[in-house]
Amino acid sequence: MGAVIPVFFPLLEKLPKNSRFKKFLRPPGAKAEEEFLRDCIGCGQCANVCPNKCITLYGLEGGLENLATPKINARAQGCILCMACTQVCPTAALEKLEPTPEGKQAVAMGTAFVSEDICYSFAGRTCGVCYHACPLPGKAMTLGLYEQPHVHAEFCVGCGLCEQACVHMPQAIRVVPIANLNERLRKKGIPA
Amino acid sequence: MRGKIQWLRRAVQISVILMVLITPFLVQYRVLLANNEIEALRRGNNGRFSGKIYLTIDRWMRRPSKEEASNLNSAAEREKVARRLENVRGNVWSAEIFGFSLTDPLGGIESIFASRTVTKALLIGMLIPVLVTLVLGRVFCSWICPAGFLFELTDKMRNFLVKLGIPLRSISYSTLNKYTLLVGGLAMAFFVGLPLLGYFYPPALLGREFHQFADTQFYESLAGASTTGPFLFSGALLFIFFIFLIEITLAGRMWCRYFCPGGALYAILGSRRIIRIANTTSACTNCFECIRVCPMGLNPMATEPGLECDNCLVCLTSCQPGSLSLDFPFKKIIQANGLAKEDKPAQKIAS
Repeated sequence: MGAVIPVFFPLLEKLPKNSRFKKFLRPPGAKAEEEFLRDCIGCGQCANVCPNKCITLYGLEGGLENLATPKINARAQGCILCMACTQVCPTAALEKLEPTPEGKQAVAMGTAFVSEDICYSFAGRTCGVCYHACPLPGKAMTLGLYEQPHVHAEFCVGCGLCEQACVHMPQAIRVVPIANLNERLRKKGIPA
Repeated sequence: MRGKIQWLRRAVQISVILMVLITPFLVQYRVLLANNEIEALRRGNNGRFSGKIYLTIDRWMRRPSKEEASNLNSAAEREKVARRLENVRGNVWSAEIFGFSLTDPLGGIESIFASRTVTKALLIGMLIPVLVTLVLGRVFCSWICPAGFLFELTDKMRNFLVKLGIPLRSISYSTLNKYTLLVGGLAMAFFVGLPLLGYFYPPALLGREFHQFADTQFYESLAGASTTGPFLFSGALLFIFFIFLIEITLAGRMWCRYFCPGGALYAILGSRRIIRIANTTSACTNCFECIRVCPMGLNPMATEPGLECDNCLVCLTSCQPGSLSLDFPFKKIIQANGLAKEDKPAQKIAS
């Protein structure tokens, strides 16, 4: 049996990883998706220390490679960037970050995208809820006419608090995980 | 003294199981405490299990001193207690207990193989388990593993069913199966980057399930109503139940003996262990009791207990003539100096 298994390794590497499932955000400080999946042992200590319970663990819904790894469903609960999870990871799949302004800026979980066709502010009804939820206001997000949100991708860390706070249903602002981001931009023809 | 070793082992096992059961609830209680939701919980308590369990923990936390009872209502005190509770987290797979970071060597080595890098945090976590295994052998399996404790119950059930006259099969497989699984899993981690061994490693599954359970209870306690329906657990407990059924009916202690990849790793780490079971053949009466009781299906009468022995010391307890004993390098020196008591049971039988 042991001799047969290595024969399939090249085939297993060719499998489309992660492509079939909706991706959620990873906790702050997570390494690049491939590396993160290799490091994470699924112990759940990051979910244990999370003070606002935004980190939950994947079940089988995320496929075998995601099983028991942490995720953040931003619409349910965004990350408050307290960095407690980055301090406890036993395998350093989450790299250590400090809850200082510099540490918060170093987080790269994703980037928020505004759907201008359904956003209240872009329809002329002043809202601005997402701006008031943003932990980096004025940098990651600025307001235009009628409090229209403008996301600045170079500063947005993708914590998901804006998506959680959005009063429109479905949400008019979505955080795209960093693992999806490059694919998405590539599809649009923008270099990552 | 010999009989008490098994009591000690049971005490250790049960305390580990209690830790695995209670830690998830402590973790959720910390969130309730930090968010100041205990008062609301007490007011909205309608006798559900979920509300009761967190209020019980709250009563424990307030008990040590009467002054703290009032202080726990202040934000600063709550934060202090929550900070202290942060030091207890995780499960048998990887945990932190009062400053000691512990990671299962199986998870650690898998992570090292998959990422092909070694991190400091991981080495610190693996230090204590690996050192203990190098000295004492595969004691994790027999003294600590909560799943091992559950599977030991299958032996009792088998004996009970046999007494009732129900015919049970006892299939045995090759013990090499578990080493194959370990090597296959590590090769999978190294070449494909999928750390799969943790997904069918019963102690890790148990810990994960209890955390999941406490999590659903957290939301249930706040909602005051059932949020999940009767299906609280996911597939992992089904897997363990499946092993349980097979072990009772078809193959005794199947998982631990033949298929556990973690056991394989501990066996390899503990192969040069210092403390071993040894048979001083002069007193041995060839009663074969030790072979009958050995949970791993070994032959402790042989001079070398070998790779599979997990130092559970059941054979030592059951040995009536006192022929089996623990062997460690300095034993002869200690005995020659009269520091250790001589084994008495043999003399009793002689008189």
